Amino acid sequence: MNLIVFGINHKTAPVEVREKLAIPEKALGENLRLLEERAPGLREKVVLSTCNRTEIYARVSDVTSGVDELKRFLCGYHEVDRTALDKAAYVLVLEDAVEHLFKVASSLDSMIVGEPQILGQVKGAYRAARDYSATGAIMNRLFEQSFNVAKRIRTETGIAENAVSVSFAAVELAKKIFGDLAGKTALLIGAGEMIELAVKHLMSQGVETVLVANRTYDRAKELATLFNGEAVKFDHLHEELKRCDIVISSTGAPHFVVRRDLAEKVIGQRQNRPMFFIDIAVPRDIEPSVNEIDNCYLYNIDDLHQVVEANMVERAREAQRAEEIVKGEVEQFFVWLDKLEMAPTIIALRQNVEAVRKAEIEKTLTRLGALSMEDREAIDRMTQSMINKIIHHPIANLKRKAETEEGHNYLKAVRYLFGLDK
Amino acid sequence: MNTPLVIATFLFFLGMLKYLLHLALRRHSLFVLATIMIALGFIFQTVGMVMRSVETGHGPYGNVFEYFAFAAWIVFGIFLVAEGYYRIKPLGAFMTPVGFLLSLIALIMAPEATEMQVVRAYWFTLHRTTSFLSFGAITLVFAAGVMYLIQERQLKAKRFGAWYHRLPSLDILDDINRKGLIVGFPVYTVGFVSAVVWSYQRYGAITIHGSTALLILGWVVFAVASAGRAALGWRGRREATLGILVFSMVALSLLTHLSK
Repeated sequence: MNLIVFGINHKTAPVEVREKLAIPEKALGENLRLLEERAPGLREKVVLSTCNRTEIYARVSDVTSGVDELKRFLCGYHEVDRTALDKAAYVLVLEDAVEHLFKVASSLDSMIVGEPQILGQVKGAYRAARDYSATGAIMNRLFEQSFNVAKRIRTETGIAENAVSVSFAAVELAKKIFGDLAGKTALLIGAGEMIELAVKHLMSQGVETVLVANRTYDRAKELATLFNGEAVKFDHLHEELKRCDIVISSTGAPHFVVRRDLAEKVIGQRQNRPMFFIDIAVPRDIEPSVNEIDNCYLYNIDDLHQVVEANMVERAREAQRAEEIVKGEVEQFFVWLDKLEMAPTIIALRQNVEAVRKAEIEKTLTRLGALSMEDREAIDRMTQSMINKIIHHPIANLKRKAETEEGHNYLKAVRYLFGLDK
Repeated sequence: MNTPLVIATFLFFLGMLKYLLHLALRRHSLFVLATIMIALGFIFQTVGMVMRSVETGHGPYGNVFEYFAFAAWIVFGIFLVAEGYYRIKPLGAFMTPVGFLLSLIALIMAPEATEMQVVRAYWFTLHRTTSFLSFGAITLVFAAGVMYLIQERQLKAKRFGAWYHRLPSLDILDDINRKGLIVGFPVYTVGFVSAVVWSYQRYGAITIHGSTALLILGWVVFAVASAGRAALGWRGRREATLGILVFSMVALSLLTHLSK
């Protein structure tokens, strides 16, 4: 019995190959049906297809022939060039295959480590395969466990904790300053795609009131309706500022819109309640020395990028911890699998030696000619107790080892040494 | 030797180490273990102090040994409540070293240290209990203040390293400072006034020596911090700094007892 994953992903294949192998969600059933027809060597299978990867997880009896069937199927069905496929594809077996699935599900193998979509995609792929009855006990267990691994990693490490986009970085900083954003007021000065994105994120975190100021009042009104906020006159900015906890500025103005003396005055009016200024404009809208005022925090676009970079590093560090979790879970899966394989292995071993004994007795008895019934029985009993004694220790030790991490190696060794897989 | 107190101090030490390790490595299991150690230590400390009080027949503030054991008990008690309430994981790394030092000093001090003859006086008892309670609150304010100053520095200087990721929001740290002042200042004042009354009753005069001077100074800074927050809207860095200042004075005053 072997578990394999065969696939290509964003690291191994260019988009020209990936797009050919991509399978739309609706076509998954059809794909599984054809796979069953043309690649009968695949006992259980799950097909995972996202924009970054197409992977087939399968249980096969023979790796080489299974992979070969798969490749022929893929080349035929997807019309991919065989050499291109050979170059881009990877095959992982047993431990490596299981580890790979666990990493994929917990987003350790993603382009952006920690991104949340992949788990849903893995779940979708598994559900499609299960609905089509393409999975059995082993695949079911494997995928269910991969969902648990993903959940564990999400809660026990910080791989998904920190913002990795500029607009989320603004939200993260706001939370470091204000804690809870519920009931806070944000002011937008100017307009722009990034500003709108940042406001959307802020509002989803509880920011209650959005004020919009623009050189042209009509544009301000337009934006304000978009966010369910209120438009304020650009000339009244001075009075409005004291209501605002978060100020995002992105105007085309050639000079500062908020100067240090204004910010100082506003902070006084606010009884030192903190203010968070985000200046996305180039040239800048807010005088840089505003950051020196107590309880004022000023970030420009470069600073936000810096947060993102630092968070990427942090995620990579957390990913290392996540890999340790994955290793432990892989071992656990194989402990389970070994227990499952233990009984058939022992039965096969017994049948194997019994067949040898029967054949040899047959041969010997015909050669010896006429023997009394008692003698025949004596020979039979003697050979029986011989083989029982010979395989007693291997079986007892195998059972004992099955509970440990090494169990799998022993099982493999027994199957190999006694030629049980032939 | 009071065995439960020795066990408690050892547990505090282990808990403290685990909190510091957790700050560095962020393994969740370390944090859980640390909290369990401190909670267990707190129970042992409680048992040890009850035993001691039964032995002496008065509350645990008769001599230097008892002061420090009592102070450690209060600090850990307030810490456990604060950790449960605020769920700030790095808090332990900043607060438990203070508590551990106190309990260690208590152990080093012989329990047989000179006993004051006045321990049963009403004003004296009031002075001791309230002073120690406010000391616990001030230690919390101190820990929050240190974290605030570090995090504020990170945010102003735009350094997004380990500290930035580990420490909580400025708002929550400022909130601890605010609550610490509200609770701590009146209790501190009662402790302070009762000390004056007691001293006057006993000696017929108010004597000012090193430790009292520090306590007066601490009270003045405490008053400035409280008034500044209430009337002038002070907050953030300034209040965090004042809180740390109060803590240093009170801690120093506590340490002057060692030389007696």
